[in-house]
Amino acid sequence: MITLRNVEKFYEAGYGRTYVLRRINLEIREGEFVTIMGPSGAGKSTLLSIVGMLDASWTGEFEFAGHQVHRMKPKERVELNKKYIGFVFQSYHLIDNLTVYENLDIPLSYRNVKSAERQAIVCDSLDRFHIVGKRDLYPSQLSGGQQQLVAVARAVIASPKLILADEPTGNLHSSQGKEIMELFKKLNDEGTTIIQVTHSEANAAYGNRIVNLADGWIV
Amino acid sequence: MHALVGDLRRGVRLWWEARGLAALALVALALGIGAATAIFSVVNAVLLEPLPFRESGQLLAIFEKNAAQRKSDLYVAGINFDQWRRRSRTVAGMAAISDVHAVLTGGPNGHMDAEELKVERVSASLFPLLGVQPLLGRSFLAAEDGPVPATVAMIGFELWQRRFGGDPSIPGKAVRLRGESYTVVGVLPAGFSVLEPGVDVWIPLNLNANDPRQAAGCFLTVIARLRPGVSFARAVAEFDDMGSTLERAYPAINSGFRADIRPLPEQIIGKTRRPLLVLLAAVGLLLGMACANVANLLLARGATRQKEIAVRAALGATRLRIAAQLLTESVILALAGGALGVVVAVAAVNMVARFGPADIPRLAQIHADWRLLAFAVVLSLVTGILFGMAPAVQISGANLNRALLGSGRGGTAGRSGRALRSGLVVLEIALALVVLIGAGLLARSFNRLRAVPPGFEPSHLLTMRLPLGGGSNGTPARRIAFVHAALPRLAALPGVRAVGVSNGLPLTGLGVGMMFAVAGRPEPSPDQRPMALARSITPDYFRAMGIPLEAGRGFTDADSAEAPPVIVVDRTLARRFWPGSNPLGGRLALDSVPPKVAEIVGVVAGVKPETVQGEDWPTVYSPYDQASTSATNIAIRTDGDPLALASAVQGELRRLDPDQPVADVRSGEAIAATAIAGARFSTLLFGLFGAIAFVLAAVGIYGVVSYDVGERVRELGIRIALGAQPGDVLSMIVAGAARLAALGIALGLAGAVALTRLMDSLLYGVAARDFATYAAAAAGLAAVALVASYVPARRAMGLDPVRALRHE
Repeated sequence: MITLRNVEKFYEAGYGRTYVLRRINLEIREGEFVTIMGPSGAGKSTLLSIVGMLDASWTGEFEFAGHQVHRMKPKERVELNKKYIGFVFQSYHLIDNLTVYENLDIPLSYRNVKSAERQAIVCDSLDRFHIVGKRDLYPSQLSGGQQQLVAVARAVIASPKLILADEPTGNLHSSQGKEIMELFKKLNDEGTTIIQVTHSEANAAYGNRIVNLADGWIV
Repeated sequence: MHALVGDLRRGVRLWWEARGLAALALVALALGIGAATAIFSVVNAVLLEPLPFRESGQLLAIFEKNAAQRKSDLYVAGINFDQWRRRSRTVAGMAAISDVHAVLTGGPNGHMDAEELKVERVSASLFPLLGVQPLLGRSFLAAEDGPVPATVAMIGFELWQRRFGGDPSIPGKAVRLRGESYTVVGVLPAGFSVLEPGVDVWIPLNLNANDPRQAAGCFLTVIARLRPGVSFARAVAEFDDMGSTLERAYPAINSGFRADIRPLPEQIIGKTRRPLLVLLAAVGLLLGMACANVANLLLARGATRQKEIAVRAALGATRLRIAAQLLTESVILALAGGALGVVVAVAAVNMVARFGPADIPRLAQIHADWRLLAFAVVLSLVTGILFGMAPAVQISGANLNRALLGSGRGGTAGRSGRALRSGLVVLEIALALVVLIGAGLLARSFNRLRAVPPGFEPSHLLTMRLPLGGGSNGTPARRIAFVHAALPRLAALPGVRAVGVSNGLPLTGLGVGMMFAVAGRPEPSPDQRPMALARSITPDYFRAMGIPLEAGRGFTDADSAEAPPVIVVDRTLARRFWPGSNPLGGRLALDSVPPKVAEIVGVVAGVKPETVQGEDWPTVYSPYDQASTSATNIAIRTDGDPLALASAVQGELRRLDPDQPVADVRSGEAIAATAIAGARFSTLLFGLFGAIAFVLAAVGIYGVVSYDVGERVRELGIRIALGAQPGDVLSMIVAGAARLAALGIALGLAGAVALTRLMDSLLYGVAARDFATYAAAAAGLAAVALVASYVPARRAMGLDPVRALRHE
C-alpha cells in the first residue's frame, strides 16, 4: 500500500542542512498495524505527516495505493488524503465551537457526500462508538477519553483505508488508552491499515510490526 | 509613581512594536474626532450660537407674501411698513432696510479709487432695535431719518480697516458716496450684518410715505422686536388682521398680499439648518465607526494578550496592577488619537471657513470649538479605556487556568469575544452604508443639477457689473449715454464676438419684477395679476449670452426711447398666456414706471434666474433705451478664454470714465459653478465622508477577519488535515465575512431608509429612497467587505497544516 524510497526531509540552516529524516525506505502492506517508535526528535511525527500528505516538502519517492505521490500536485495529494486517510492526533484536535455531531460531519462535508447520506453516516457512527448521548455536546464538555473517542470516530467516518494515529493515547490515562487501542485493533481486524506513533511498548504490542527511528534514520 | 513611569515606558514600547495596529487606531480616531469636531464647530457657530443681537429670539423678519400666486419672501411696500409701524401693538419696535449699491470715490483725504460698495438704507431705529452699539461714534439720530435725506453714514469695520486704515478719528469726517459728501458718524463692530452679509455702509432710509413712488414701491425688508410676553402666533394674527385692513385701504398695492412674518434667526439660518444637521448626523456616524473600529482593534489585541496577562496574574500581579498597566497603554493610544484628531479638526475647520459656500451664514465666525473637541477627546479616551481594559475584565480568577492552558483541551480557540467583535463590525458596516447612501444620493443629485441647462451658454462668456447708480453716470440720460458709448468700444476689442447689457444676469437672483396683464383680455383681479421678471437689455444681449431666439426678432437700435414700446418674452410666459398660439403681435400692459402697453416682437428660450433647481419665471425683456435701470451688467461673448479679455475690457471702460467702477468680473462658467456651489460643497464633504466610511469599514472587516484567521489557525489546520481544499478554507472565511457584511448591509439599509428622509430637501431629481443608489452603495460595501476578508483568507489558504496543528 505504501512504499517510501530514499525519502528525506531537511531544513536549510545558515551553516548547512539539518536533516529530520534520512534515506527512509519503508514498505507497508494493506491491513498491517505498524508502530513507529523512537525518542523525541527522531522524526516520527514528521514521517507520519509525509505519509498523511500533510507535509509536501521532502525528497525521494513515495508510492501510495498505486499513485506516485512525489509526482502529484498539492491539490491531487489532498484528494488522495481525502479518499484514503483518517487522522487521530494526540491532542484530539476537535473543533471547539462545533458539537460532537458537527465535528463528525466535517470530513464528510469535504467529500461531497449528500446531506441526507451524511446524516445517516454520522448517526451510524455515533451509535457504533456509543456516543449518541454526547451528540449535542461541545468538546469542552467531554473528558479526554471521550474527546479521543470522538476523534477516532471522526477519523474513520469516511471509511479510510489507512488510519494515522500520532500518540493517540498520550493525553489519556491507562484505562482510557486501553479502550482506544482496543478500538484500533478492532478496526485493523476489520481491514483498516493503521500506522501509529507511540512511546508506549504496551500500545506497540497491539500492532504487528515496529519501525524504530533515531535521528531521522530507520534503525 | 515609579510603577506609572514604568507602565508608560512599556506602553509606548508595546505600541511601537504593534505600530501597524496603533496606526490603524490612530487614523480611525483622528478622522472620527477631526470630522465630528469640524462639522460640530460649524453647526455651533451657524445654528447654536445666538445671533449677536440683544435677545435675538424676540426679533422678527417681515416680508410680504401672495398666497394665490404662491410667492413669499417679497419686499415690503413703503406704505405697509409705515402703517404696520403705526398700528402694531404686538411689536415693540420696527425698522426697515433697503439694499442698494453706491460708489465710493473719496475719503477724508480726497479722491480715492472708485469702488462699488454694498449699502443698506436703514431706519434710524434699527441699531437700538437690535441692541447693537457702534464701535466708534454714534448711531443715526431720529432726526436724520426724516423725509428729508440726511447725508450721514455709518461704515463697517472691514471697510474702515481696508479703505481708511482703521483711522480712529473717522467719525465726523466726510467720504464721497453716490457723488455726494457723506459724514461718517460711526463705525460698526467687526462682522456686523443683519440679513445680507458683506454690507460696508449704512445710510438713513429717509422713507417718505407720502411720496406715492415710495409708498407703492416694494423695496423694504422689515425687522421688528416682539413686545415682552407677546407670542409669535399673536403677532402673526395681528399682522394678518392689519393685512385685511390695509387691503381694503390700499387695494392697488395690497390685494392678495399679507405680511410674511418669521423669527429673524430662522430667516438667517433656516435654509442652512437641514444641510448642516445632515452633515452632523453623517460625522456622528463616522465617529461611531471610528470608536467601533478602535474598540475592535483593542479587543483583538486584548484577546491575544490574555495568556500574557494570565501569566502575570499567576506570578502574583493583582488585578488592580494589571488593570493599571492596561489602562496606561489605552490612555497613551487614546491621547495620541485625540491629539491627531485636534490637528485634523483645526485643519478641517479652517478649510470649511475658507472654502465653504458663501450662502452659509456667519461662516466667518466659525472656529474650532474647544468644548466639543474636549468632548470628542473624552469620548475617544472612554472608548480606548473601556475596550483596552477588556482583557483584564475577561481574566477572572475562574478562567485564569484556562487562559494559561491556551485555548483549552480541545485544540481550537473558543468563541469568547468573537460575538462582540462581529457585532461591532456589523455596526460599522451599517453606519458606513448609511453614510455611503447619503453620499451617493447627493452625488446623483449633484449630477442631475449639473445637467440642468441654465438657458444660456456659459462657455466663452465674460460678465461684469457696472454700478451706474449714485455715481457720475447715475441719471437715466447719463447711463444710457454711457452704455451707448461703451458698447461699440467693447465690441471693437479683438476677440469679442458680441456685447450686451442687462439689468440682471441668469443665476444671480430674481432681480426686478413687475405685474402685468395681457392687453385686450379681461382684466384679472389685482391679487390675480401675474408677475414677471423685468429685464432691460441692449440689442446684442441674447447673442452675447447665447440665449436662443425662438420666434420673431430681438431688439435693434431702432427700438429707442422714442420708438413704440416693444418687448421680447420668454418661452415660459408665451406658453402660459398663449398656449398653442403665436404670442407675436400680442400686447402686455406692464405695471412699469410709468405704466405702458408694449407689443411682443420676439420669444426667447427660458433661463434659470436664481437657482438651477428653481422654477422658471415668466420674463419680459425691454429695450434698454426704453427701460434703463441703474443695475447694469455687461455680457461679452468671446472667441477665447473670457477672463483673458477682462483687463482689456476694464481698461476700455476706465478710459471712458476713470471714476466708473467695475465689479464682479466673472466668466459665465464661474456663474454656473457658483449657482451649484452649495450642492458641490455638500457633495464633496459627503464624498469625503463616504471615502472615510469605506476605509473604516474595510479596516474593521480586515481587522476582524485577520484576527479571526489568526485565532483559528489550529482549526484551519485540522480542517485541512481532514480534507479541506484551499478553496474550502477560502470560501469558509469569506463566507463568514459575507455573513457579517450581509447583516450590516441589512441594518444599514433600514437605517438609511429612516435617516435619508432628512435629506429630501437637499436632493434634486433623485428620491431619498433611490433604489439604484441604495443598490450601488450596498454592492460597493459588499465588495469592500469581500476584498478586505479575501486578504487574510488568502493567508489562511497557504497554511502549513503541520505547523498549524502545532500552533499554540
